[in-house]
Amino acid sequence: MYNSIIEISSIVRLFIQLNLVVAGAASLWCMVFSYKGIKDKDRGEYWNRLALYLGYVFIGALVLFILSWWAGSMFIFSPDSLAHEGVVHSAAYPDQLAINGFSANMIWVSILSLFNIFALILYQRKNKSFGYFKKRAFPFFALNFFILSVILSLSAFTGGLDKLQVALTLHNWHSIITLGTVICVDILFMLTIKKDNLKRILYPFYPIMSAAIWFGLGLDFVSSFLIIDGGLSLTDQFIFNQAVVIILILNGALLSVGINDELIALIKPDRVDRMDPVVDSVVRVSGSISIVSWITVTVIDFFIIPIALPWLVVVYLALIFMAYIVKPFAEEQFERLAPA
Amino acid sequence: MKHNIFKLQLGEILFFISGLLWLFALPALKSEYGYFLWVGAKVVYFLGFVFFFVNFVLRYRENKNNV
Repeated sequence: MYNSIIEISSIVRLFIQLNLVVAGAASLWCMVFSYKGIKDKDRGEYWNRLALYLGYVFIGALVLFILSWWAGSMFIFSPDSLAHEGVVHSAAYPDQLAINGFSANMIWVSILSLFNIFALILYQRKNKSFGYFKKRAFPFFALNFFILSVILSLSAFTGGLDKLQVALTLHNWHSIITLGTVICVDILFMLTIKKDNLKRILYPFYPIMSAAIWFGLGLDFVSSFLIIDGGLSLTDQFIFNQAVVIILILNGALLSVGINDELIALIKPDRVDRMDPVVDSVVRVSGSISIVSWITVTVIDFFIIPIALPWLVVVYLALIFMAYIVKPFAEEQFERLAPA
Repeated sequence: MKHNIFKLQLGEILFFISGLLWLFALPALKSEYGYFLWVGAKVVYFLGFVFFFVNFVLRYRENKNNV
């Protein structure tokens, strides 16, 4: 969308965006889990535990986001005022909308950084107590979600509130509830494989996360209608991107409800011990298609990739195959990483 | 135990139809007909979402009480 070739500035922006999206989605779902922790008196402890699990993902993504944002803002996307003081832009001059975004977000990222440093120091001083976490998790994640949403909405900024800005805001923000949520679903699944109590509340909750993903995709369609002026540009990359979206829709439409039901069957009182091997394979293929496709449509947004359509398809299929192979290994690693 | 992982309800059926319309639109996007299908696919998608949302609220309540 923004640059004509694969440039270092695009790679940095992609890295910033991915971490921002994951931190935003993790803060959203941590906020929801901690809210349920307050409201659900019987199972509040488990909801808070889920918020804590995802909280680690949030902190990791947040730290990477803040560090890369400040680095990007100082060395690549310097606002004009800084450039005038002698900071030289890279030869591959990045898009003006992105530079405006960095300028507009300076205050928000500063607030975000200071707030989280302060919160983490307090948490550290309380010896990382779970009781301390439980009491303050909801406002902590809610405030983070709000600030991260603003940052994501302004990450490409026209300078005013016009139709293009509304489209850009929707286009950027929807990633929290699409790509970010898909990543959170996968990580939560892997972290709770051996935790029956957590699965019992998490699996029936997955349909809500699925609905959020469908809704987010709808928001993206609205944004694309707002910026279509004078028809579509039918490049190989556009056709490929559209094909990936079609695959996402068909994959989700065919399998999301069935997979949710299979997962819920594992935690019912008359549950089966493990998933049928065929169903398990279908779940793994579907999961691989989902995560690779969401990452693909996001990555493609940042570059114009000089590869012909057949090669794009080959790379895409290879990535799905790789995700399918790597998934059991990743599950094992996350299972080990999961806090007691 | 018999598994039926391809369970579809109205919302998902409409999502599926949306995907198919989109698929048919793709090779014909240069023409007015293709563009019409492309927009139609998105309209069907939104319709699907309405049904999906209603259904999911009902299912969530049922699942919450059954586990």
